[in-house]
Amino acid sequence: MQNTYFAGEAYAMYFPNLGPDFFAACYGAPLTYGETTSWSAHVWRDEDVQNYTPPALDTQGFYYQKMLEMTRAAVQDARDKYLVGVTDIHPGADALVALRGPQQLCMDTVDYPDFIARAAMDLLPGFQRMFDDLFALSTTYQQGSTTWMGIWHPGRWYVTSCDFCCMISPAMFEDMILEELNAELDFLDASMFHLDGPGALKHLDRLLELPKLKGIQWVYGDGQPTAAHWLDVLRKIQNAGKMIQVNATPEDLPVLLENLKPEGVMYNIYAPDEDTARRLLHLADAHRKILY
Amino acid sequence: MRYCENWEHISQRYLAYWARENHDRPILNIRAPRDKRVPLPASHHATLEQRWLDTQYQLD
Repeated sequence: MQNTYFAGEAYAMYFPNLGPDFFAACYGAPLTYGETTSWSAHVWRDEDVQNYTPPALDTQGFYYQKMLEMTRAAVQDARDKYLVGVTDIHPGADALVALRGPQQLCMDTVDYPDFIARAAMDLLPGFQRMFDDLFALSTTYQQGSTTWMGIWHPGRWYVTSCDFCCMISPAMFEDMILEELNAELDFLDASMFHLDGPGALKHLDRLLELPKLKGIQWVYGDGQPTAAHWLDVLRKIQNAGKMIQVNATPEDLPVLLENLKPEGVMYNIYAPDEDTARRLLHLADAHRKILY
Repeated sequence: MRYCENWEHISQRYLAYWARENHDRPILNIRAPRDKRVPLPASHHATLEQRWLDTQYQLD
């Protein structure tokens, strides 16, 4: 944190993190740790689906208690220095991916289609409990909440996502995903949907119809053209009245400033050095719309 | 905040962002490596799991 120069609306924050499958780990899927991420064992077998019973969040288990410990420690360390975010939580179908495995969950869409929507809803109380506990801890000294997305909100905001949606049709998205997603949106004060990759774009129109969804974080993905090459997608989001967050390169910024309205738009830019960061901010300020 | 001198202003900008009322320019989350960097503590953990679960190390 002390090695990072923050410009514009960037702010110092830390979120305790055990990886994207942490939520599934709290339902009995042990984690394996890599250099920069972790992953869960796929512990739900076919028999568990065939004889399905709603799972219980293990709030007394190692992973849940470890996250409480990490968040408490961060809150004490951060006081008056930086913000503490709620950890990375993936409920819904992404938790089912972590518990079943991506290939098996794809098979489940055909073999046990009712299971996915039902199990996703059964995981919802666990998400609500986890979020409530971590939000309460993180707001011990700070006002409002933040997450890995680097956006601050004065109330209870969190990311919604479904990376599994790349693997399913719009009809399946409607039948298996939307009920739980809408329930998450009802629970939160605000949310941005993490739309990850061109394979997820087939669901964008439906997402833009959700009244309680505030906006879309568009992730075009590694190896894809950068933000300035996705103006059609970004304009569609903006014209639907939703907020945008997108990673951009320094070279993208002039194109984006020229082609998108500023309202509800946020760009994440990783500059190579402090001078470039300052130059980018000046560029945006020079492009600033004159307000009367 | 020690690492964010103008938090009052920045928090107001986020309120405008959520309301889609940041009419002047987009919200910019710009980060860059500091010109003068301080060395971070080296990991002496025997395994990656120990490193991930070392709360104090993660904070440092």
